[in-house]
Amino acid sequence: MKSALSAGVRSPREPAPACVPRNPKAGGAGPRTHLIERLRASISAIEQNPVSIPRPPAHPGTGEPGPACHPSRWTFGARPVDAALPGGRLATSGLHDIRPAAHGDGPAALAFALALAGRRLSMHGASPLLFWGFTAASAHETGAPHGPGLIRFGVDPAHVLMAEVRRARDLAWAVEEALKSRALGAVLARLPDMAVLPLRRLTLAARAGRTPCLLLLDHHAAAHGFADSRWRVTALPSAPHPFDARASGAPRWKIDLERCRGGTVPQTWQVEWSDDAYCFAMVAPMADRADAARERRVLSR
Amino acid sequence: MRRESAASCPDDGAPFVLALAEGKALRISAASPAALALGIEPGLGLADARARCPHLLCAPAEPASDAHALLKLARWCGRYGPALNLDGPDGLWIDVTGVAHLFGGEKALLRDLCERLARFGVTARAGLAGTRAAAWALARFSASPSIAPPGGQVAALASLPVEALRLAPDEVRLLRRLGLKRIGQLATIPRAGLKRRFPSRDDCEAVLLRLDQAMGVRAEPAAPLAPSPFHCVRAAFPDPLISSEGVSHAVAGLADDLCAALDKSGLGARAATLTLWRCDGGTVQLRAGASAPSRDAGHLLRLFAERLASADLGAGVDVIALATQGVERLGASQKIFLERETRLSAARLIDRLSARIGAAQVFRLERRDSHIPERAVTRRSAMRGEAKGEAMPAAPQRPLLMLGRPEPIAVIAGIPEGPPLRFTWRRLTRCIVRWQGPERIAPEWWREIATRRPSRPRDYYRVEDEQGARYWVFRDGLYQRQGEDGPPAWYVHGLCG
Repeated sequence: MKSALSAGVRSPREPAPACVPRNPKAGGAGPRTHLIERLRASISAIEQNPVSIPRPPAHPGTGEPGPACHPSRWTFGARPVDAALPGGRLATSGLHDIRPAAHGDGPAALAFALALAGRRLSMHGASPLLFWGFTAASAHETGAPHGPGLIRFGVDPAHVLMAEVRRARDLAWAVEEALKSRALGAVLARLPDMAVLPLRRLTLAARAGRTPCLLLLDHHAAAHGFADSRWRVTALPSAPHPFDARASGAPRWKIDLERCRGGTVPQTWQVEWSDDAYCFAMVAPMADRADAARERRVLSR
Repeated sequence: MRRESAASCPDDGAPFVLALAEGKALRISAASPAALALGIEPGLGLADARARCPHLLCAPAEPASDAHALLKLARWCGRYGPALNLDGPDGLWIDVTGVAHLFGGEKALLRDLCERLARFGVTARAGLAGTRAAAWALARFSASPSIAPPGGQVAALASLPVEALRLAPDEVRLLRRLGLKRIGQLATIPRAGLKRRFPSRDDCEAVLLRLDQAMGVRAEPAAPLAPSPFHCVRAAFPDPLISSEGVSHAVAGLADDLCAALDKSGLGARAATLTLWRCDGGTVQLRAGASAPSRDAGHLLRLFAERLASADLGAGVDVIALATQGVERLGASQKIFLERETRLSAARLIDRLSARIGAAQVFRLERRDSHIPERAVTRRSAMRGEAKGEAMPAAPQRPLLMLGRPEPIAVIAGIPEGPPLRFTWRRLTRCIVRWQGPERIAPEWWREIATRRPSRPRDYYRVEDEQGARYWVFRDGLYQRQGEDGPPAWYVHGLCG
């Protein structure tokens, strides 16, 4: 039996191994990739049907339990974006670097980061607590977080632990402690320009604590190689509100995936944040109506 | 105990006094032994003293820094007992009930105290008795150090003058006129007869109260400097520890002991104080709080570790004590479910962050009953636990970031109720494409009555510019009511994502 196994002989009727490849050395490249594909499929099937009983989270803002919707993966909810990410998900233990495209896009980048954090907190098995660290200087410059404003992005303000820190050095320390504590679903930090060493420490802390860290950096911050993914966010003019043509609708952003470990880069999408479903949706490119009308006129002549 | 504030005495031989301005005259507030020998006593005018002794050295008295030094000394005396406090401008008391045996008896304790104080250059007089009043009298009017045996106050105080009873000058004068010069005389005469001699019943009562307090017949409550700890563990070292590693190691041992004691009584600490007594007379006190009751020695150590490493150990530390001020019931520990594990580690994170960056800087947001946006949400220190109020409302929509104070903007807007069409904020002009509003928020009139500062109704608009950036702006005041309180002003109050 032992020799048979080591030779990789298997009867064709024998069912495929469910979880562990018994002999990884057996076969050439073809059967091996086949096996890996099959394993990936079975793992994702397991993940989509969680075995344990989900904990009903309080619906943000109302205090009532919301509809049971616990994604088991940290996704965008928009298929094209998820398809570009390795394994169709964001890494839950690593650094995600988020930057505005220009100075004025700061709030948009923050909203994007918060939306991602909100999706992470609602994940099955994640702690519902978010840590949000910022410096006193940035709170003075662009304002401090306002509780009721977080609800739109799927974050319950009662579950946010905030720290306002005077010095950037202390903020890096606090974020590192938060990452290592394992008590948090996600860590969000608005860091001023950072040296390499703290970033390296944060990466290690995120790995050790198995907590994702969403880092908001300045638009001109130097590139670094520690992040699992790097995003650049640009605010876009929104579509009219469905019930009020003068008012602005759901927030829209252009997101550029500039760097992604194991993913396909660079990529650009235009997404809209739905504050009812707490998910991203792709924005269909607009037809140029003026242009189309001109064409129609030309045709009708 | 008496301390003479002749700290910078040039040399022992020369008469030296401290003078304090009292009205227009300079009066002597303290005098060195040499000056006392010349008949120069506190209370004498400086000019008179100079007349008696032309080569008298004099320095200005600084009562504030004396009081500060005395307080520092009192903290240091905490090594002899947990309950102690200042007593007048020149004394302090320590409650050594049940403590003396740790120092080898009462006599050894007093000798140790006097020796150490003498080493710091402090002239001290000490007395020990069953009551605070008797100890006061012994320290000031008897040979130092003197001890009254338990219940022996009457005998110990009998030969002391009546001034030792802390009486007002008038009462002393009256007693002396009656021929009662010693406490022993006063204690033995019949009280009924004594009452008739006094001009009023109250005067007599005041004297008898002081007498009874000294004898232990009537209680004399006194508040200690710091509340007594619930649990306290203490370590004393024959040789002072000079390295911070050594101190950390000792503190680790104490933390283990403290947590074992807490475990036995089923309690967890909410606040802990670590005190280091330096052998040069200084103390270092570090406090740490816990947002959830804890008796984890490792956690307790981490809260102190950073500040302990940077603490000034001076010439070395010879006594270390770790005490808990606040305790709460904490059930027996067990290996627990994920939910509680998470909550526990969140509590530890809060403690660590609060210990370094301040308890007020680590916070949660809490809802308050107000429609004024800047008043609707407050910060609640995470050490105070989770917010108990209602959940924040999702509607009406609010900005993600709110400016500390609204910033004025230059606006082109429709009159009287139009939205801004274009505004300039921080030197950049934005053209408004989409807008929603107004949402009128009226001022809180009850607050206006209290502060007497009238405020105007605000009309809030959520606007979006050509780039897609969203702002929350408002107009303070109405165009219709311009005549009453000036033209309306526009402000940016928040940024939306």
